[in-house]
Amino acid sequence: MKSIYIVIILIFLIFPGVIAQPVPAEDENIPYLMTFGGGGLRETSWGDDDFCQIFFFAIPESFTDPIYIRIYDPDVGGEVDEINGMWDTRMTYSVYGGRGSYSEEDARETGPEGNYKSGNLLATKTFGFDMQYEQNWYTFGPFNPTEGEYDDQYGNIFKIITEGIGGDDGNMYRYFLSSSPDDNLRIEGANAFTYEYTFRMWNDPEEVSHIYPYIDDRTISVEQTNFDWDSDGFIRVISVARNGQLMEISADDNWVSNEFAIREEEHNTSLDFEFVKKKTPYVVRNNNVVISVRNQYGELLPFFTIPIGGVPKYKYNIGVKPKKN
Amino acid sequence: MKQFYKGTTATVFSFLLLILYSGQSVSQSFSFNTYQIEDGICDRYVYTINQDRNGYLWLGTGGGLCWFDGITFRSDVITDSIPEGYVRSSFRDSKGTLWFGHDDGSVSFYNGQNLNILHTEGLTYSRINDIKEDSQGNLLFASQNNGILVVDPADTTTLRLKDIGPLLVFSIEFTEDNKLLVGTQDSICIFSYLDEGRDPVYIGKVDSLPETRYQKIFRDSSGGFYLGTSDKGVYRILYSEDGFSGSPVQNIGESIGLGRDNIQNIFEDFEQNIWLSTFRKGVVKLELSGEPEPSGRHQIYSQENGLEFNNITGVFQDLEGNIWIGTYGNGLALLLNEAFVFYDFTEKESGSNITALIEHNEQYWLGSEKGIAQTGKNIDEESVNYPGSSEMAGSSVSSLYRDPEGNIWVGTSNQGLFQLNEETGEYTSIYYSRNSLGNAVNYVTGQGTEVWIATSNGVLIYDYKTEEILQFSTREGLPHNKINHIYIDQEGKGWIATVSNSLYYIQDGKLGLGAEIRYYSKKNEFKAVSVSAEGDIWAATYGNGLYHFTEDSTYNYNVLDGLVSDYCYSLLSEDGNVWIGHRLGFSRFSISDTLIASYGRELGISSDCNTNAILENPEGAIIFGTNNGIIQYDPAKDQGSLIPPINNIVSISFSDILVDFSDEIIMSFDRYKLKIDFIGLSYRNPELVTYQYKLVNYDDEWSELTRIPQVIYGIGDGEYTFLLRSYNRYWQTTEEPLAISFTIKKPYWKTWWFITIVSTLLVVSVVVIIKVRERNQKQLQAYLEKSLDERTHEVVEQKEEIELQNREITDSINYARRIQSSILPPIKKLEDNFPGFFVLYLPRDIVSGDFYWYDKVGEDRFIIVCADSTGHGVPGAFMSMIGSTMITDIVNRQDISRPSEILTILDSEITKTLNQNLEAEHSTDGMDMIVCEVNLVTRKVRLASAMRPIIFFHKGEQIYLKGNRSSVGGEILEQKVFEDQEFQMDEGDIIYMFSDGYPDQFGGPMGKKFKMARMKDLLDDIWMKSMEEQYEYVKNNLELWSGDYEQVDDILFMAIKV
Repeated sequence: MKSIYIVIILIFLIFPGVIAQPVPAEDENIPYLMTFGGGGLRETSWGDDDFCQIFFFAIPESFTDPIYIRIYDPDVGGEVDEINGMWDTRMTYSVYGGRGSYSEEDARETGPEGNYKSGNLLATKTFGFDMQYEQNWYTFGPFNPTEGEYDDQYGNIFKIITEGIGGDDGNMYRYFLSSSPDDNLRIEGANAFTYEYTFRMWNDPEEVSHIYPYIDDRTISVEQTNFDWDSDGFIRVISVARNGQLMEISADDNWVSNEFAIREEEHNTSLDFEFVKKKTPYVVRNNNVVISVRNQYGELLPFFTIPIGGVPKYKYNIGVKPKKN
Repeated sequence: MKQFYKGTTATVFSFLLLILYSGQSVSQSFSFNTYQIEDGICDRYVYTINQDRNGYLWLGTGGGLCWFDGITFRSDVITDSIPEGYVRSSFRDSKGTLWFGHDDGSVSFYNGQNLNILHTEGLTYSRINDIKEDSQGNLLFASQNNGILVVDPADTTTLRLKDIGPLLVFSIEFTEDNKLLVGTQDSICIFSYLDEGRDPVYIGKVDSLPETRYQKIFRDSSGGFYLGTSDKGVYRILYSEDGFSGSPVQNIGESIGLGRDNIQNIFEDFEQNIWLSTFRKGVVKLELSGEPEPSGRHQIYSQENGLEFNNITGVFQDLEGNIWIGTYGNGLALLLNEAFVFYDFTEKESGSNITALIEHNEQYWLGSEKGIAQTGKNIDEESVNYPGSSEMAGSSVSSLYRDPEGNIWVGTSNQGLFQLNEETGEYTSIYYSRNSLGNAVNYVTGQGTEVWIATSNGVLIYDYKTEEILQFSTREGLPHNKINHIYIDQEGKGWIATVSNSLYYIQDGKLGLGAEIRYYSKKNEFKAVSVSAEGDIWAATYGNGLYHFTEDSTYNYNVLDGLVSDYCYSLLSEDGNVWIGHRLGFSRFSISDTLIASYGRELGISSDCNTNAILENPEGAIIFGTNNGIIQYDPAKDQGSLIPPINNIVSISFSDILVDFSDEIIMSFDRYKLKIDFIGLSYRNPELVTYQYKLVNYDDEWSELTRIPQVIYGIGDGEYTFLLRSYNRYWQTTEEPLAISFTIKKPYWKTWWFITIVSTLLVVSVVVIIKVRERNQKQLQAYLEKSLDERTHEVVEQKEEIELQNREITDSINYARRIQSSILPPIKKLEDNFPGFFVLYLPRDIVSGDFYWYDKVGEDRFIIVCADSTGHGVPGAFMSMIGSTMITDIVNRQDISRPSEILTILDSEITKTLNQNLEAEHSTDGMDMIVCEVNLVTRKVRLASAMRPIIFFHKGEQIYLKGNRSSVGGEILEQKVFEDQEFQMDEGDIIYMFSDGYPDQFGGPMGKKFKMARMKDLLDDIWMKSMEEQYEYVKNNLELWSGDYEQVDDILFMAIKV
């Protein structure tokens, strides 16, 4: 038992980011975000439908210190990326704030279309294969929190767009929202969310990843859509009123979706989409997937890396029937 | 007592002899003032800094616009509405108007009075990153997402958006040939710029530059362009007629360690130095020193040397030359003075307490508690340390001296004098005394082969060639043995600073008195002394400031004259200045104008100057050794001191109501409390700005100097001009004072028309009043006359009535008098019975209360009654009638034989008669009475008297008889007894009877009563006279006695000669 504690402590010491504010977050258990280069034939079968990932960071209004958006392994090359042929991919990260950066509808869609680069471009950086940042951190910032777009509900929101601008390699990376340029220091009360998640699945079939779409009180039904799941295992939904409802999953390079009704108890809570890999007849490796959820109005629901209301747990209903004589 | 060691190498530990080459560098730091939220700044994020035409600093912050006067931050900008987006950029155009670009695409400008908003809705919605002015005076605003917005300052209602394509615009700049450079997200684009309102035409981009975001384009004064990037540092490129094609790109960032850094802003100061603002690397100043291209020499200001913050958004130099630094998240910073450099030796082996220092050939030797450190030209360069030897243990290096042969002499605080061998690092003890005071070396200097040692036991002069020693102490005439400093002048005089009011010098082995503080009895201690080339002596004291001795005068300067302190520790005179070291600062005395400038805590000095640790380096900088490192001050870099404060009126209020003083001030009349707030903008030391003001037409003289930026007057009507002068800490002021005029109108009662009207009204009023008064007077007079007539008539009627009544009463009384007279017995009876007599009967009021009665009873008895009734007048007359009637009745009764019986019966009858009506008040009326019975034959006389005396003369002798003590009638107080007295008279004897009217008459010279005594004397005088003479005498006497006094009572005076 003592040795287990030591291992845990060592893990926290070696990987301080684990206790910081990462994207993906701890509760999601997603190894990496994934964006492909999008060059050439714009091949989507690798598991990225649009070669773009948009994330939003919400900073509580009360936080006024400079913030930093850090990217782990931002370059495309090396061990923590997916090569296709040779390392020829260029990846641009851009941070936006100001009016329209979040409120613009195009910015909250699944695809990089229209005015999705809305707002003020605060910082941008393009990476190729750069050993300086191989399994290392690049830091955007500092940013004045009020340079984000103010939202009554979430505070000041920054947008980061990761976009492949050439090549066909896969870029695996993580974000950290930090109050320090050199360390991953969590900003209390901050959160991150996206409307379409593109990420790398674990190779280990024992690992279960999660995402947490938030269900507001306007939601009657939702439709989940996933892409290029390679029929790897199953997706099940857990909530306070739902205990493992299975979703349809897509095959290689194709889309699938299904709709289900939202129960009253699920309003203003998060759903837990569990991604369970299959173990037989073979383990799918290097699987990259895309998923999004819309409500009955066609509006995308945000996936919060820190689920609103916490990770949902199903509340068992023990039914008692009167004994019949 | 003293031992000298020549060439003796002290035994020291071998490891201490090693010269240690320190790998540590000295920390050089600069002093900054910082302004954060707690100091009043609007927000921690400062995006832009600028200065308006009035001298105020404007800050565009994350919390909005705020302006700063050196002391107070204010955000109450006069405007109707402030754009939601905070200010990202600012620009001061050629006319002095400040333009601001906001984060939401809004544009505003400040014209010196108001902030005006330009409505850019529909044109721009993203941040304004940059602002520039074109050749025609139009303002260009670089909107990040929407191109370039153009505004004509003369017509701000018309806004034009110039299309430059789908570029993100971060910065703009013009070339000399009016090309527009646009810094975009990945390149520098070149456009031809046409002022006539047409869109710029894209020419191309600068291919020689790397692909990155160019967020700042800055054209320097030599025409070169500095390009600040978001992640590739800064580049410099020249522009020619051929554009940028033939110009090499200088990677400035790479050469100074900023090759991958985020350059936020670029600024050129007055001296053509380029300041780079970076994120995470602080501020970097490229020191061009007048050269067009950077040589690589630069100075970094960051957390490592005092700036505290490394995220910098911009640098700005105000009109005074101060460098302001806007930070991203930590407010505002002011580089206090580049002339100051602070060297911190805390981590150095020598320690931070620098007690002695010398310089030679651009090398410094610094003495401390731990030995000596030797540095190069730059004090912060790596140094060589000479740790103190074991013999020096417990002492510090108090003084250093390098002789002409290059020997380093080391004075210690309590171990005597040593010599340092720089090659071996060995210290050789040269002088050690058994007297501990002699080992306290305070200063070492010398000339030629002589080493002069100032100890606490006098002066030693040691010739290291001849090994001769001279000592000077109190025995030789020094005033004190504690020698603080020695200065050897050009004539070879060694001036001695010691505890004394006198300055002595040693020359050619002799002691002489050089200067003296006269007329000053307090204890004085000279800490340091210096002699100028002109022969003037300067002496710093411990507690009495600075003394200046000239050939014929002595001057003293202290804190009141501007010294930091009266306690001085070091002194240096050079190039027209005298520098004095104090605790927490130092002072500079300017010899030419005798002004003193102080340098203290306000400039970031937080350490104490050590005794006589001071020198001037070859560059002209003054270096002070302090208890916390070294302060280096370069006067040549202190340019801002020549800029006077910018005068401004902050507010004017009349009777606490603020007025707009941007226009002419004309106030209606009132007795105003005028309050003027003003300020002299001097950002270097705003708290040391002093003011003088004068209100023309009110003040005769300029005010005393004050640091209170406010004045209050109580003024009336008139035309006034307020004049303001302000001085900075170096006493610089503007040639012309700030003037603001205002007028308070005359009150209406001082206007000609009012005076005319009032005068006319006054005259008319006077006339009217006079007329009215006259009329009223006449009416009153008529009324009074009428009333008087009525009253007079009434009085006359009453008088006539009274006279009538009086006459009737008088007639009645006169008639009563006849009745009364009729009942009095006739005088004939007395003539028939007596040989002589007289009766003086004088009623006071026509009728009388006094009466007399006599009659002959029987054959020979004659009864005479002299009576005085109660009261007089009518009541008395009544009583006399009653009395007379009753006496007649009583006497005629047969049984009356004696006078007393008459009185007794009369008393009874009167009492009975006057008290018949018992319901009425009890009567107390009665009468005094004499009853005299004379036997006409025998001349036997019997007398009975009620309350009246009787006087008679018998045989020439006066006999006085008192009457009984009871009146007839009247109050019954006791049993009344009336007695008879009987006398045998002879012929010629005279009996006198009288009422109290005669003796009670007032008169005489004293106004007194006549009294009975005078009566007796009177009768003594006249009794022998005939009765007729007596009557005349008595009557005349009465008239004579009474004089002007009225008769007070009825008078009855009877005399009978028997």
